[in-house]
Amino acid sequence: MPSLIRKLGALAIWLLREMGRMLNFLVYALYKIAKNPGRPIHIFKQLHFIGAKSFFVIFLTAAFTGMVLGLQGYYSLAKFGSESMLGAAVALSLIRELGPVLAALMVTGRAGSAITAEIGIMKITEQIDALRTMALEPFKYLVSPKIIGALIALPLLCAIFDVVGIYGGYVVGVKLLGVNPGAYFHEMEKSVEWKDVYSGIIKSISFGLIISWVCCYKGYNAGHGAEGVSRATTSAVVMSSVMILIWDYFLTSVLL
Amino acid sequence: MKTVLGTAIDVLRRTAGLQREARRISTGLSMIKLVNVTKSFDTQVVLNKLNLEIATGKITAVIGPSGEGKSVLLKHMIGLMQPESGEVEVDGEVISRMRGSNLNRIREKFGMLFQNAALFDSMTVFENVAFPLQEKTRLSTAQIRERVLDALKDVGLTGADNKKYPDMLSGGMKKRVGLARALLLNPKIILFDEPTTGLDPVICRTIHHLIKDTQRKFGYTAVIVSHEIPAIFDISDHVAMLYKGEILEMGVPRDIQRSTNPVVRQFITGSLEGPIRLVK
Repeated sequence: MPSLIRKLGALAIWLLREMGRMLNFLVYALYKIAKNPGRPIHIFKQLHFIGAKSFFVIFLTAAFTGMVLGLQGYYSLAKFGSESMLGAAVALSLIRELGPVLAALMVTGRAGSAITAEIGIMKITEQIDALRTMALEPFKYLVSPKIIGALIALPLLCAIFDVVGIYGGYVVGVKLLGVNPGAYFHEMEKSVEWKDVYSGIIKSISFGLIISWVCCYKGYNAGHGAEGVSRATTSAVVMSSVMILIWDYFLTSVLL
Repeated sequence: MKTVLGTAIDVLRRTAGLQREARRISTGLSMIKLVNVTKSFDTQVVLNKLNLEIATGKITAVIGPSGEGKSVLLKHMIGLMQPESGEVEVDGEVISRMRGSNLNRIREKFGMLFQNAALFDSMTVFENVAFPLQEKTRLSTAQIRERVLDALKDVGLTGADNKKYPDMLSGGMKKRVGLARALLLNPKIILFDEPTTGLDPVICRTIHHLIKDTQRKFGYTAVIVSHEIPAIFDISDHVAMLYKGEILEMGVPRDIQRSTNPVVRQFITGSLEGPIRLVK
């Protein structure tokens, strides 16, 4: 029993330390961004990598999510004779919730893991030390552009997700199941408010920060060798995804 | 008003520079000085109250068995690691407690060639060498190109090699690219971490000649961590033997080669019999 208590205590201390280190990392990164965000070319490269290169996967996910919503929504609403509300149901689900969350989860899987692996490999092969020996601040090249890139890319990807998803729902609801196209868009226009849109934008910006922060931190603190990098990458994806879902709940309860 | 202020700042800077220079001369022309430096990892003491002076404009080799902390010593010299106690002085300034921009100001004086060259693996040879110039100077693209090609030519790399990525290069070529990158900003000090480990004898000699030639040409202070016995004696002005966290012996290569210390003797002859034990 005492050894179990000791182990739990050690785990709690480790968790607190890790949280402190992560918070320190974030504060330092934001301070560096405020002081000198770096050359625009590095930011554009990250914007291209996190944003443009995620377009296809976001498009695909959004289209099928919208189509499933159209299908499920139609059969649920048909029970109450409210099929015309399908556009509003699809749009509200996507704009308020599914757009920001699913876009963030897809970016975590595609770009977040790559960010951790890239920084982790640079760490274990002394490339980060090489930057330091050139009197260059590694955060300026490895962390700041990625955070700025994710903060800009996520809301844009979320907007694309919403639009593609709405048309996915339209294809199934209107073209396949026979909902009136005018009703689909009219109900949507009536139900969606500006508050719904900006809550989605706020969510996606905060998810961008979570993804870039966690993935950069994990890469920067990767263990030894290939195994260390692989563990860091797995841990970055799991932690980012869990944090996105937890943060989403708290943010929703505030923004509702 | 602005001109007066600018002149005053300039005079202050020059005075500080002169003071540093005077201090460096008074400390016996040593560019780097380590005083009672101690560093440990967990329970293992790697550097134990180590004292070492690196002469200005000379090549100093640090030799010693593997795992004795030679790379750790180099990392202390450039501020990549901080000592637990003791002081590290570079060009007359104590750097052991420096952080941020102050430390970067000191690092401007350094170039470093890492054991595995530490080239940026997502950049070509040309981009690797151009990187410090792009980030730290305001030279035009044409000027950068000219300087990079000159630096690569100095280390014997031309043409198609410049478009290759580091994973397409041999060990010797990687080291040469690393050396070109280290030399590019004309540093006062270059640290070499095992520059010839794992290379064949011909390339090993080529790299040694390259270090010697470029040191003569540019006059930088060189610190080389190496196991290449006896080749390292041919290019060094001073040799220091690191053993059990301390500098066991230091002197000109001939003195070290004639040393009667059993540890030094065993290390330079490569004998299995002696105080150095493989299994600790």
